[in-house]
Amino acid sequence: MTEKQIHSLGQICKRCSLPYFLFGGILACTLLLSYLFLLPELTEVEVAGSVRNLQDLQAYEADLTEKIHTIQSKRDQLVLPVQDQSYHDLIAQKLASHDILEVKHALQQVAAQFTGEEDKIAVLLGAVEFDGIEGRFLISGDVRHVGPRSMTVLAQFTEKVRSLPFVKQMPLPRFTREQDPVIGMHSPFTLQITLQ
Amino acid sequence: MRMSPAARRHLRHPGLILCGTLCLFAAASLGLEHVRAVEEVRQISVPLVAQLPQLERRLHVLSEQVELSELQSALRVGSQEERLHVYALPTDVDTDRTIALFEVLRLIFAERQQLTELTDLQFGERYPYADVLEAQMLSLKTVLHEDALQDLLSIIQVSGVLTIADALTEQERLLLLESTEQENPAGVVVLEQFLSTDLLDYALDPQAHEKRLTSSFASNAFTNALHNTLRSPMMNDARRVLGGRIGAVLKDQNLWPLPAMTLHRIHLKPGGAEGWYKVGLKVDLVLRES
Repeated sequence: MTEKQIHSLGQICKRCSLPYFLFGGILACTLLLSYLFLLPELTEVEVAGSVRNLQDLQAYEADLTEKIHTIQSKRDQLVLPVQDQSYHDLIAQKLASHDILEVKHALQQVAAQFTGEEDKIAVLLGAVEFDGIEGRFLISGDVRHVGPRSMTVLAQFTEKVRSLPFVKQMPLPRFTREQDPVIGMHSPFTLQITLQ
Repeated sequence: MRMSPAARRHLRHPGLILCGTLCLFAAASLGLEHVRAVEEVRQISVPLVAQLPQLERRLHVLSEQVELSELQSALRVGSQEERLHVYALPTDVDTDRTIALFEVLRLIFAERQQLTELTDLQFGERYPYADVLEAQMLSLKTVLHEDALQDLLSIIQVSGVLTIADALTEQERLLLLESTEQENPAGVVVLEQFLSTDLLDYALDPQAHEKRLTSSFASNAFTNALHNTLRSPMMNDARRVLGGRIGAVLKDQNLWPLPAMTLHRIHLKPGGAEGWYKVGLKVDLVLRES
């Protein structure tokens, strides 16, 4: 039975081998011809007067983009009346700088949100110092009219200031509570803000 | 050792099957290449072909603009470079002009009753500044109102800026140039003239300069882009502080262009009344290396 089956398989292979080979060969040849001649014909397009395949199109696009960048920077330079890099760097530095009065007003707006006894302003802002080289802003002030909560109010004020968009970095101030015979309990502070 | 014909026939069939299998593998691989090629056409070539005419048109427009700009540059009378080297960024501090500037500010602020004193103008030593430049510090003390302080800080901010182009960031200039490409490529000449306009001349009569520029563009898109651009903080400072009496006096007394100054340090203490400050100010007068 097994011998007969092996024999049959051999017979099948014998009969099918030639058609199998011919089918594979003709299919491969047809696809090869299509790949060499038909496919380029179908995938190439005519752009700017010449026929281009995908690689040529990509190269042409890269070439156009580079030319555009070159000519654009040339035009941008031509509209600038002054061609001095150190001057442009200096002006860029000026354009990026902060208006310190705007910064001070923003801090005053935050301070105005805190009121104490009899609706008096609780956070009073005092002297301001701004270092334009370091971009560092120092402001001193005092929290008063809130009794023993002065340090808590100072902590709340500090958190609100830290969340302002122009604040890059601000170490926590020294929290202290002092007793004054006139103003009562108060917390003087100095904030050191590094601007963005 | 020669193989018998029967044995050769016996071996031919597996050989044909092997070759047929190899051919089918090659056909499968070529079929995949076809699929890949079609996929590439669909995903890359078609969008690229749609994009190329726009790029070609943009290149053409930019080439025309550069030609016009080159022509315009050749016709430009007077050199901003010279003004830069003589006034804005000189090699040495022009003490007379610097003192005269602060004297003008003192007089105007005093007239407006916004200043009580301006003292201790002191020039410091020269030192290196920002890699290739140098600076000399000028310190002063003053007591003034917040409005005058705002003007003083704005003057420091616009000092050294010669033209409208210099007062705009690169992105703002690009926005205007791209608007000309879309609206009227030949309008680059008028835009270039506008950007080369002296900042003080513009601040003294902004509407006339803006009208001259916008008249070259039919649609409102460019006008909107222009107005958005000219709302930048430095342009606002320039229009506010130079567009009034300070600008007029600076022009009359030939104190414009101002020497380039940057804020080194400022110390503000509350003054005697609401809105008044005691100010300690240090500015860097920026210079080119001598």
